Amino acid sequence: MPFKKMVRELRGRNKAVGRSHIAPEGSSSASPSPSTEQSIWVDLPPELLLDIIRRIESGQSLWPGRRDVVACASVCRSWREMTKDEVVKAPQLSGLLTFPVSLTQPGPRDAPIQCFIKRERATGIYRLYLGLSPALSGDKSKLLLSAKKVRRATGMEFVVSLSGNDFSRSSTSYIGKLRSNFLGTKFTVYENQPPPVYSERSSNRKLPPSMRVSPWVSSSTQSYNMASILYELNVLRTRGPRRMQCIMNSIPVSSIQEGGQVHSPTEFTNLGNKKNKKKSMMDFCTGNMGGESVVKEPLVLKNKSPRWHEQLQCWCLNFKGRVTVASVKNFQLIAAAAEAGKNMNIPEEEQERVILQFGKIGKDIFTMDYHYPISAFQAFAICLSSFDTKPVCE
Amino acid sequence: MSKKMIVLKSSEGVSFVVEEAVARQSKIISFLVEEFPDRELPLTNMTSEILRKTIEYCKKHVVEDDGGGDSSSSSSGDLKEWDVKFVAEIDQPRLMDLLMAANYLDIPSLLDVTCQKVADTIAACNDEKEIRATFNIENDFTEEEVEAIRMENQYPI
Repeated sequence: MPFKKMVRELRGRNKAVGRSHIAPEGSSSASPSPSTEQSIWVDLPPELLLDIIRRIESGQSLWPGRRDVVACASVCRSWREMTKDEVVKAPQLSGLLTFPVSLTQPGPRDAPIQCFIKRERATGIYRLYLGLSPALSGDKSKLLLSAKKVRRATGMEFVVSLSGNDFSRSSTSYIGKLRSNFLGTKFTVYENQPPPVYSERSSNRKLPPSMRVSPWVSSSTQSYNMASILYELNVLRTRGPRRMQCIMNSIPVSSIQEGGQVHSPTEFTNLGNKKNKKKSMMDFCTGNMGGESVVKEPLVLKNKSPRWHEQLQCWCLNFKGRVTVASVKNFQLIAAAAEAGKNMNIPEEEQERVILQFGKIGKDIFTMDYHYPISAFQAFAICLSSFDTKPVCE
Repeated sequence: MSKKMIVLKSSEGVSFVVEEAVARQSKIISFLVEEFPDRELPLTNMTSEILRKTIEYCKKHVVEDDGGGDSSSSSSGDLKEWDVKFVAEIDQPRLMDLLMAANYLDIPSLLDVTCQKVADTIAACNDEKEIRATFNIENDFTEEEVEAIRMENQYPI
């Protein structure tokens, strides 16, 4: 430490008064000039780098300005670690989406993340953008996820990608898919990530990242059944609101209890990362190989029942101005905790809280607002299921 | 009556005589002045150029502090303007040296303006390549990490 050295030097001189000119002169001329062209960043104390990156991060909460934060994470290792581990907080805490991985992390608890979806009928591509609406966000809207509708012999499939035009299953931008049954009454969401592993009573404490299973063990990228969406069959064929139910296999119902937590991935595992490899080696050694993909008591979401409006002669839900066009596709999802809620100790306002709402605002334009504990990807997948026509459900 | 002066010595051995009140804006010098009165203080990791700049900053700020009182609100605006001009005139490598000096000598207000200037310079860069070039930072990522970064950067379309 130069400061300590300086004090020591001064102390030494205090004792030997009179020789003060000899000792420091020699030592200072021996040391080379510190300001050479060698990068000073090597010596920069981490707390200063942290301060600088924090300043950049706090100044840019909107896109495209937030690209600066992503750029900081791309400069070199120490910057990347600092930006990802110290500066940028998960959307659950910050309400902001910064890195692609934040699309698979749970949304914020208080205010929703507001997005909109554009449908391209000709190509069957659905694009999810961050922002209130195309009119308000304009060209600055940031593309979050895209999905392409593919017809299969057994039903429909939506391939979800980070990229706007690459829907290849082998691409690194592939995130997951939504698959329907033949009738279009049941959908399954697959996420191209290993399932979260919940140990006993794990929901009340934060899971260390090492609890994840990495593809290092099974070399092929595995996907797992993350959620099931069920639309109730309308056998009487009377026109009325749809009824839907989502079983979130990766989210325990305890996540919406007071102080509840939900697994939040910190890194995409299909992309190589040294840290992951080390951890998966550990997982391998501890026999943590398969992982139960279904939590014991999964969170179940159901759509809020609309009220019949006598004057308007239609079914109504209060979307608080975010939905403007009546459509059978519109919905609000709340936790179906009626039965579970009694013995699970879930506060009443939590049971009434809208976790996901989706609705039409114009031709081929829809809004999607989501909350904790679901992620942008999960929310998008649920909304996509509403696009698939289901004459038997209406 | 006469103001107390202290002597600071740069890495090249050049001595700078400054008023104690000016130098005392550095918490480190403040401490050293009390510990070792009437000594010249060797700052072996600061060049004369950087030390001169640091003293220039401290002089400006000590004058404004003395003239305080009622006029402080108007002068603090001028001072901010002066700070902006002060860091704007410094080139890239010197700015980093000055930042390190502010950190070493513990001068919070100088540290604040230099950190902000560095943050603004980073934000003004178009991409990470420009940041690396501007600050002479080595790219030390592995191929795997480069792939992950490539995806993050294509992601905002």
